[in-house]
Amino acid sequence: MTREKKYFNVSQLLFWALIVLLIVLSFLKSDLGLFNENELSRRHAEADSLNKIALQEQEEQEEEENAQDNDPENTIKRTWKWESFDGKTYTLEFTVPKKAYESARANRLKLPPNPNCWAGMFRHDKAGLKDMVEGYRDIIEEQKLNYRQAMQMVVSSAQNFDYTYITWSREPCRNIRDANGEKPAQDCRPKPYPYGCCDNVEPFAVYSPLEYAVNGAGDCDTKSLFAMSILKYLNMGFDAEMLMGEVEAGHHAMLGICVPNPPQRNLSVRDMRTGKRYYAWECTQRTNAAELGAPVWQIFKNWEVVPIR
Amino acid sequence: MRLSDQIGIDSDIMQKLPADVVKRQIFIYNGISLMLLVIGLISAVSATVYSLILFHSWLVALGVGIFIGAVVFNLYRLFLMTGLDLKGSTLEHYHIKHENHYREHNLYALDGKVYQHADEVLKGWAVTAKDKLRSKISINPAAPRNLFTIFVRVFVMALLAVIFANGLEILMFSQQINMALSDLKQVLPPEDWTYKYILTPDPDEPFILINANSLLLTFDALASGLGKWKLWMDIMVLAIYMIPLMVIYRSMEVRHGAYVQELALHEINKTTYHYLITQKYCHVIDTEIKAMKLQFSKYGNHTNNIAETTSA
Repeated sequence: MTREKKYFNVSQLLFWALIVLLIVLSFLKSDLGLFNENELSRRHAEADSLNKIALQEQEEQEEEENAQDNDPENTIKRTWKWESFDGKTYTLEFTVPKKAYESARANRLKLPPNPNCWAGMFRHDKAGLKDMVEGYRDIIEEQKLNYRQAMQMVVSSAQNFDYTYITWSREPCRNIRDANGEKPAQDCRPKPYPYGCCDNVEPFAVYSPLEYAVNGAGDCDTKSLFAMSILKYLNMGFDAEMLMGEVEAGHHAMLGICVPNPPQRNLSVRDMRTGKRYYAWECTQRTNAAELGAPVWQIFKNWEVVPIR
Repeated sequence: MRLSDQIGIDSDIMQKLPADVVKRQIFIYNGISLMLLVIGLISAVSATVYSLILFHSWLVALGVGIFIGAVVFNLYRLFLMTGLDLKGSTLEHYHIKHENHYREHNLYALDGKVYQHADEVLKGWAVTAKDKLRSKISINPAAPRNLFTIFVRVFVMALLAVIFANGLEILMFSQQINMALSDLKQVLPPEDWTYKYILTPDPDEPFILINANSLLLTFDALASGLGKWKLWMDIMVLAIYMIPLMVIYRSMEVRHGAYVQELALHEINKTTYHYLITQKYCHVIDTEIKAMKLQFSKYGNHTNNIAETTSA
């Protein structure tokens, strides 16, 4: 067959092959699982906060039941004590149901190995952290803290624990070295330098807010996610999001806050969806981005806002 | 009636070509005709699906579907047949300016003599000139095409392909879309506008095919459910719509094929014959007019007489 003839014959063959493929697909569509029937209602619920509540009703009801379990044998009790930027020392006593803690861990393991998992943890842990959030709210009301003081009080509580490396199977603790070339301690608890390290925290080397509340072990994204979650759970008008990007130490995550009249020196990222500018707040060190402006990084590139809903 | 007749192919003009060439050309145009009929059918089915969602009536939907299918079939036929040009063929020189043909084959020299011959003789001259022209045909495969007209055709057909792909996918996944809409209905409160007006049928107009009054919501359900597969399905339908155009523009058997050349020769031959006939009858009529000895000044005198009478 000449090349000239081949062109038409191949085109014709392709045409009929595509027609046959369409017909076959229309018969096999169910078996091939091409269509996800739940996606429309899930997306709709995500877009509409009222309906999101309805869709997640069953899941939240289950979490509520866990949270309402006040039996001391079934709860984990913790007391946090820390100093905020106003010089005052705050104490927060709270309980977390053991079931909620186990559920938070199980939920984490089901999430995708990317920053989308942050939103999954945020949505899941709300009920389990109810007592803790109430404790923060009581402090704000009793101490009559203003908007900035309240935000500083929450973030300083997240910064209070010593840094702990959180790693996953792709990068085990034994491979970690700090800036001085030192190995972290083989201890998954917050401790002074050399810092502890938690191995195999799947799927994305981050603990959920509820796990952080119980264990206190966390690195950049765990601490930032915890602070952001508490600020959102408080539902007192704090505008906080997660930020991710690169600094001189590599990939990094920080808390992002949208505040009026921020310090000019602060590092910030614009959310291209809403046009809002979020100011970066480093949660692994005792920095006060909301007032003083304390950029701790010299290199700050490829940063973006990761909206958590 | 051959299938190729449906897109306007006149196989009679290929009489002087070898039988195997004619057979191959008819095979190709039959294949293209069948493709166009299938594309028209897909468009008709897709338009019917859209109409069912909008009008909830099989009668209206089928009417709209048949109409849209016919429009797309004829539009595509128009695009294909007007895309068969002579770019790269030596015939283009004669086809766009027939005077070149008359000059090269001494037809101008016959101007004063054609009236002496019967119409059949003139026809024979035109055919002889055509046969001489056929022997001069040569093809330059690398000749440039008018990219703008190609772009317009491809753009219009691609746009139609994407529109009709959605309708086809809605038909293919109608059951799954209905399940997704059912899930959505369970999530929505009964007082919700979408629940009341989009997902609840009117008592007089029950849903047909898709359980929703909204095309946009149906698209949303389709896109959400298919995810990345939607793109692949769209590309498949797009490819189906593009293949006949590709064949016309890329296949040398079509673009510079025997049919296109014979069609051009046929058109040149017809024009040449009519040119000669026109010359002949111009001469005949001119001679008859001159034989009539008409007085062209008579009417002018009559007017003058009236003027003189009035003034007197």
